[in-house]
Amino acid sequence: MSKDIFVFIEFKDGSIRKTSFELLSKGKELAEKLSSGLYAVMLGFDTKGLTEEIKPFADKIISVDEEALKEYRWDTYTDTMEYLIKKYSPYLVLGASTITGKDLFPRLAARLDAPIVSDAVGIEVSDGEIKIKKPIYGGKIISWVTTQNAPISIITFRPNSFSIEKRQINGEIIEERIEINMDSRVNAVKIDKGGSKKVDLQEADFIVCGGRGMKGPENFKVLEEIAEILGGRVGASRAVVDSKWRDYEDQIGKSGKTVSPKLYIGCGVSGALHHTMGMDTSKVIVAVNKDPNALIFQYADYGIVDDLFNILPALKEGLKSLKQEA
Amino acid sequence: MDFTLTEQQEFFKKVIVDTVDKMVAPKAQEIDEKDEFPWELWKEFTSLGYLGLRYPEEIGGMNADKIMCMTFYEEIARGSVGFAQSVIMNILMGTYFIYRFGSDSIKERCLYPAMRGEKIATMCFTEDQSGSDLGATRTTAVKDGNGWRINGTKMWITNGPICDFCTVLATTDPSKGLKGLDFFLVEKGTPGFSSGQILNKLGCRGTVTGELVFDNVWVPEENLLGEELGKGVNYVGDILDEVRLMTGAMALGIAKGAYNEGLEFARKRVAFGQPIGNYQLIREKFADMDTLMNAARLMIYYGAWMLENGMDSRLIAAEAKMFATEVCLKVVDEVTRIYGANAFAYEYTPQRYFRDARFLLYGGGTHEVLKDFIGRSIIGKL
Amino acid sequence: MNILVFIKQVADTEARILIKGDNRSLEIENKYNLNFFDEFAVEEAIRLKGKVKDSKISVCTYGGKKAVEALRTAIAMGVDQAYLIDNTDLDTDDPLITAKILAGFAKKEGFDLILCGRQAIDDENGNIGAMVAELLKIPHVTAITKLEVADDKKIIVESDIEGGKETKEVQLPALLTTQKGINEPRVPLITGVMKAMKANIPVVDPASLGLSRELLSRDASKIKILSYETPKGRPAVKMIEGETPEEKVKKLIKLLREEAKVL
Repeated sequence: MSKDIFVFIEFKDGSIRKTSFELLSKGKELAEKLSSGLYAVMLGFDTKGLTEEIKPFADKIISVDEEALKEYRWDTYTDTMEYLIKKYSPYLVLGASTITGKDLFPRLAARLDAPIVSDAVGIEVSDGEIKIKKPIYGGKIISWVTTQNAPISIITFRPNSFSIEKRQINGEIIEERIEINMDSRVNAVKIDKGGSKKVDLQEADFIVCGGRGMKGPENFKVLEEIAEILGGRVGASRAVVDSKWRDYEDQIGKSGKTVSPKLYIGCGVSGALHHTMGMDTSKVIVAVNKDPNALIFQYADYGIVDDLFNILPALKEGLKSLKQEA
Repeated sequence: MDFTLTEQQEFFKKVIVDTVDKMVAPKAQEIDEKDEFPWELWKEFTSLGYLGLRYPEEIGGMNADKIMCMTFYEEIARGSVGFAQSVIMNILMGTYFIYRFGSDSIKERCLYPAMRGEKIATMCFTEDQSGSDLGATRTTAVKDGNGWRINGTKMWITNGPICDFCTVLATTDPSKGLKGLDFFLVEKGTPGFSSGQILNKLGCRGTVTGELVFDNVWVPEENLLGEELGKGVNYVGDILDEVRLMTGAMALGIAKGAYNEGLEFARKRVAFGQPIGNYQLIREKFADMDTLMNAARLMIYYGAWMLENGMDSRLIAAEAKMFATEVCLKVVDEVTRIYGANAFAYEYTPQRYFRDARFLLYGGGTHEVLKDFIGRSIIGKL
Repeated sequence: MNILVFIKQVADTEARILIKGDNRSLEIENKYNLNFFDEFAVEEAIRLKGKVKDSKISVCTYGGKKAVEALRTAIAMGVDQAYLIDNTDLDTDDPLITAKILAGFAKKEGFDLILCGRQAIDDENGNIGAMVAELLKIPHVTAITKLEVADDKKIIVESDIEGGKETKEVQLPALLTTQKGINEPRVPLITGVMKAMKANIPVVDPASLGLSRELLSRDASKIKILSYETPKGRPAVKMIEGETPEEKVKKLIKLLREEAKVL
């Protein structure tokens, strides 16, 4: 039986998403252990250029380039994935737990009657058995799970779960032509890509997060500037979003997004459980708060007790000159 | 014997816990700091219909049993005792007499709007020279034509300065002492009825408490609340146990609020390299607090169960009020110790519980009066 | 309109969760709530009922006896009828089994629209909605933030997509999962609470839903929990001292570059 691995590739604004390279990197490692092949699966329209970008990372690239696949839809994507999976019989299908991933994979799993493990953060193979690491209860517990009695398993991972390894595989491109039918019961009437938030919050390497201590929406400007210097994103606590200082899409925490950036800087964030559940897997956590007893310090690697409005301008200048040096 | 709540009571508790957590608790600190009546919260909360808690469904109430009532009193006090005071005044003492004795038109004018939160109710016992000693009441009501003329000043009236109507205790026959007391309804706008000084209190801030002045106030006969003249004290006796148990339940609520904060702090605050909850002296505090709170809870709910089943609950109600309040005082004190110096800062919550707890010493009878009553009842007339 | 809402009772975010000695089961503090995202589904159903004549809302959960409390909460908010599909001894870690049971119930009960939260906050899977839709062969939309009724056969929904929002027309019957922002769930009125306290909540036996016997057997799960562990704690925080904000920032940047190596 084949132990091949599929990685579902996502792209955004004309380039491959970082999370897809992460999955390809981990996928290759798994494929070597399983002595199998790694397939990158690209669904989309006019994706020739992007396919080239993937070549170094996968043994084979299955490209389905059809106009009907231009925008993601569960109907066309589920049908296409079902067709490819039945044709190639992979052992594992890996995807990202992005908005698209969360929409597509459960439906696909039900279609294929396959087990799915969602929102995982790690995977290991030993003696041919896969072990998937998945946080539950807001990260309070880590579970290790596996799948059984199934020829194929679907697993989705949080962005930033794996590092990207440079590879030179120069995989073979397989072009698949499939007749695709759209489900007439669903019609998109308007798509609003909402301006140009440069980096996706969940994919950002750097997050500067503001809490209630920011005192008002106008003070987020300096956070924006710091995020811009770092090439990251501004996040917000629930209190901030509930006060309508920032949009819900910026919210980090149990009722918002779960993030694990390389560096998280919490500014005036108290560290309520609701919030820390969404960020405590960050690699490095910095907390700035004038209250030395703020709970956030218990999650932080580095802490500064001081008035935000003194620290933030200094931090901005410090990072700016660091960037100029580099 | 069965100590479990029914599934219905359990569900009611869950709802009220959630409602208080969502609506009331987040505002507690602000209510305390501003010390103003939280009109917006009042509107929002009372629109849910809880003010009819004790009254029959036919008139828009909930007909809750006494166990549910205690759950309600406990939980709302846990959220904000400043707010709870006002709410409970409308639910219990402020409307009891008009529900029991009011004419249809009084009920239409006062009771139903009060159950909807559109009118604020209160009841006035206390004067500057009398609190627990009702026999010393100096406010008078004298028969005048087809009604009564009331003169006097009441002190420490919860909701007093903002009330739309009040039930006033007055003496109709000073020569008869306790047997010459009666209750009268006085509505806002009645000539001669006004509010005086508003008190600046140590705790229970947010509740507007103050003086009410009755200067030659005339009310019609229908405003005399009672079936028979001179029975006012008997009527008080009919509600006193519930008031005392309610006060105990509020004490338990404050204790629980403080305890929860202390618990969270003990689990998270690190000192000498580990959470302080790992230290035996901190653990001892929780063992003591939990033991005392459980004991108080058992007394209150036992009393409520007796009340619900029509048993004589006079002793247990007095004991439960006293014990729960003393437990509350102990718990809020321990929590300030767990919190360390932070408890001394207005920014944190322990100081609020610490101040609020003391208010319950007086409502429902001072402990000196209660102990005397309990002791006297046990030993009997010698 | 016949509206069906799937809900789940989940451990409160503040509940303490301990791993038992066998490392394969959990001990959860007795603090449970109606799942955060399901509250939006219940609320939206109630609002929809207010807009569409002759609507009926049924709510159902696949859970233990304790989950009745979450069902009562939904009734207190305003749904008409609740059902408990009893999972005693059948509790599963495989979302597809739960989805098959819920889909079986939906088929039996009938519906025009199914609503549920976008994910449960305990297992954080977010699979049930799309799975049930697939099993019932109806369209689904994940994480909706707006819902309007066009006519009795069509709805218009707005939902999150990568980097923005999309508005879609969807033909009924359909399944929608709710995202925060769609509405502000109500606090129940006492009249609702009283109704909920008295409500009779039928218990449905999963075996009555026309599913295969294998599906309801102990080894049907294709997901197996190997073990649980607690996340590794972080070393104690390094507090950065300094005379001035500039000095503190300078030290921080140095540490981030040389020690943490993230800059």
